Amino acid sequence: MKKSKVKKPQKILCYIDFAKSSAYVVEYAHKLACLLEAELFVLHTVTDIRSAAGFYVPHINTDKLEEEVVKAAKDKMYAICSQVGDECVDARHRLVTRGVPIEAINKVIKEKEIDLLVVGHEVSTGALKSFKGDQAEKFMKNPTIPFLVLPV
Amino acid sequence: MAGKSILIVDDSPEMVRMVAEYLNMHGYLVHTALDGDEALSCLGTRDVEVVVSDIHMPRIDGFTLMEEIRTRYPNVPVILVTGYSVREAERIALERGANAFMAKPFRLRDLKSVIDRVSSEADPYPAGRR
Repeated sequence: MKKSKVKKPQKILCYIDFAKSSAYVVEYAHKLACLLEAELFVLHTVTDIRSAAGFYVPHINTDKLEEEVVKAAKDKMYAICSQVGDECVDARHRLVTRGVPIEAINKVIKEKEIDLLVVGHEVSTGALKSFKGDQAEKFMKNPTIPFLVLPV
Repeated sequence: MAGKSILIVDDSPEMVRMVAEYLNMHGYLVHTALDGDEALSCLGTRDVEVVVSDIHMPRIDGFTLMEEIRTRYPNVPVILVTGYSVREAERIALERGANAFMAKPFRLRDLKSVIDRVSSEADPYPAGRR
């Protein structure tokens, strides 16, 4: 078993997939960050079509569609964070990236020197289940930092 | 309160994925199908309020799918989309009874507006609720 020195988290990353429970996950992470006097980052990823498809998609103009999806994601992120509280997450800490969620999570952990990951765990339903997956489960398989899983 | 229930039908998984992701972010309940058979099976089991379908698909094309929907679920609005022979496709789509037509590439916010318009004009009893 790997042993490490216990320290108070200074930077918390909260990953949300825009499910109904996302506001709750952000609110929990925000309260935790306040208690620990830690910085809070919130992350969402949108699909990178070229990476997802693994090849160039010639029959549709994906660039503009992707831009619209990213813009909508930023708006949604703002709305969710505002729902929790106007000042709850600094604008620079609201992160929307393209790509595979688990890769984006690990990239942000490394770049921002995150100490703790907060993520919700639910059984995805509906048409997007095959697209979203469960990031808590994926992170759990090869965790790089301590994480907190919220049942939602 | 759940958002509108939309079925997206397109043989391009990338297209389906982006449209679904966008509409999902705006609170719609999105169902997806990669061909006409899958679409009809979805309509048989789900409450769908609006169908958005590509025209050019293998086996069952968008026109045939729309005719099936008209027969089985006459009150479900259908929006047809395509990137090929746009003018001709639009004429045929509207002649055959599509509620709206959109040419690819379209803006997702325009698609959302069209979905909102056709669903507000539609019968309040969607598929499966009769």
